Amino acid sequence: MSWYIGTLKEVEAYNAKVNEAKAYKGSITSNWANPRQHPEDDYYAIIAKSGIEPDEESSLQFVEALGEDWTPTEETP
Amino acid sequence: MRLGLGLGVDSITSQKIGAGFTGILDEFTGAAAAYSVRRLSSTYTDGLIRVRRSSDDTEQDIGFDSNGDLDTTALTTFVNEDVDIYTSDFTSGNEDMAEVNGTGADGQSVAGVDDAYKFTLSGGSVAHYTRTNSAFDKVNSYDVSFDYYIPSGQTIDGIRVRTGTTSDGEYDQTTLDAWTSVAIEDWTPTSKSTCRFNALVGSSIDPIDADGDVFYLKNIVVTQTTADGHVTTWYDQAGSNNATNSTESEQPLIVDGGSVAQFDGINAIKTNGTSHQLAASLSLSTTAFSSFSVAGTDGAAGTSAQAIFGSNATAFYSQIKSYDLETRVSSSPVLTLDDDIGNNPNQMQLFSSINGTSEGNQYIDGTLGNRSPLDTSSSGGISETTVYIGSANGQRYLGGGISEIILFASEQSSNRGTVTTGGGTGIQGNINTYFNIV
Repeated sequence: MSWYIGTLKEVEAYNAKVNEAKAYKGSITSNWANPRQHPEDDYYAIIAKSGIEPDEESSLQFVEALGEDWTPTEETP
Repeated sequence: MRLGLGLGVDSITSQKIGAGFTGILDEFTGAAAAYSVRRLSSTYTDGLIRVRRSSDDTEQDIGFDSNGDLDTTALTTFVNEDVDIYTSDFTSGNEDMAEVNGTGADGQSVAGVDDAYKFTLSGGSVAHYTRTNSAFDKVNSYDVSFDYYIPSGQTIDGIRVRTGTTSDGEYDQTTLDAWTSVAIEDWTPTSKSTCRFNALVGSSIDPIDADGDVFYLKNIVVTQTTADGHVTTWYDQAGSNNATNSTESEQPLIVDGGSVAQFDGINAIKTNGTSHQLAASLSLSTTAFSSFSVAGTDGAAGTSAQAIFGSNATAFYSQIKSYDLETRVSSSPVLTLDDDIGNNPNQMQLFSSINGTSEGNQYIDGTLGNRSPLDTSSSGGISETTVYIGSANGQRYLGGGISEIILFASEQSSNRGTVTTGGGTGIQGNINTYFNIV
């Protein structure tokens, strides 16, 4: 699963672009993906949709997978 | 999160209210919520799941057959319905092909056929092709049909249909001076998503030095013949607390590449360990709690926690961590049932958690954990309004499969029963008999 990483505004713009392209027709499904915030830093990731790229002016970074730093540290019970 | 209560039931398949059917919820009443790939109650007549097919995002409810099993025939028929992904329109001004080392022109007339697409080679001694992008999803099967015309007397003497990678399959067409129809069936490209039409000389597509040579295409249709089926709603058979997700990339699989999803040979909702989850608006406020889950985890559970269900990572969850089953039943004070016995990765298992005034234990496949019973009746208990399946609210995603989850806001010590090979008693015995886990 590949991702785009950038600002919240950028990942939301990408999601809106996918939603527009998809034009969902089901009664439940209405959204491509939800932005995922980095646990410690102020940037976001969103799952990439195959065949749909960000707008040319976007500076979103494409990655094949999120690094371990995107996984919150687990609390020990 | 765009998650909510699923209420739409507009097209349920194969509901058969068979006389004499007795489900686990008929025998053991009072469940707070119950999700399964089987029918659980004689009074339940609605769909088991609502499914979105990946080919065109259409959704449909899928029910059970006369045995109470998930209606897999209706499921695969719906998900694998042929859907045209791309249909060419080569009337003037409408062509949408992407050319590489060549130019495209629509509205062309040749050999008695109008509104054809003409590809003219350019760029010198290189590969020349035209393509339609995003034709394939690299998982499912497709039919591709088209007409072509190649004039004789040129350097090129054919076209090759391919994706860009030889291993995806290649289909050469070499008829000259006649419009010819082609039907490629059950093509399953797994590496590339584009459908290319390459110029061909003999058996070579690269390099070709034939600037000005042409071929014509018309009536290109790409039809998806298998698809993935994603669960948008897992219906609550004990009430109205349906587990839903309106976000495509978070919906678990029930059909994978055209076939019913299974985990360890058992029909299951498959979760990817990264984004898949469903959410139920389920009010749970209790100091007595019991859960029975049929689930399996992948190898990643050996190093990181994976939640079968939960509200968040601190208050309420049931998770596999280092192959131990951990279920938090109180957040203030923190109390967590820990079976302290290992489960097996990549194996479907029955996870049972019992918590109340007389028992605080967990079981895997009916085997009691070796920790001392933990009475949490005087604890703060749990107080939740949303329960997630496949994660603990976007954390600790489960990579694996889930076939059934039954939750009780009560202690079920007297009903939990036992597990024996192929059977057993009580709730665990019913589940084991149906899913044949042990």
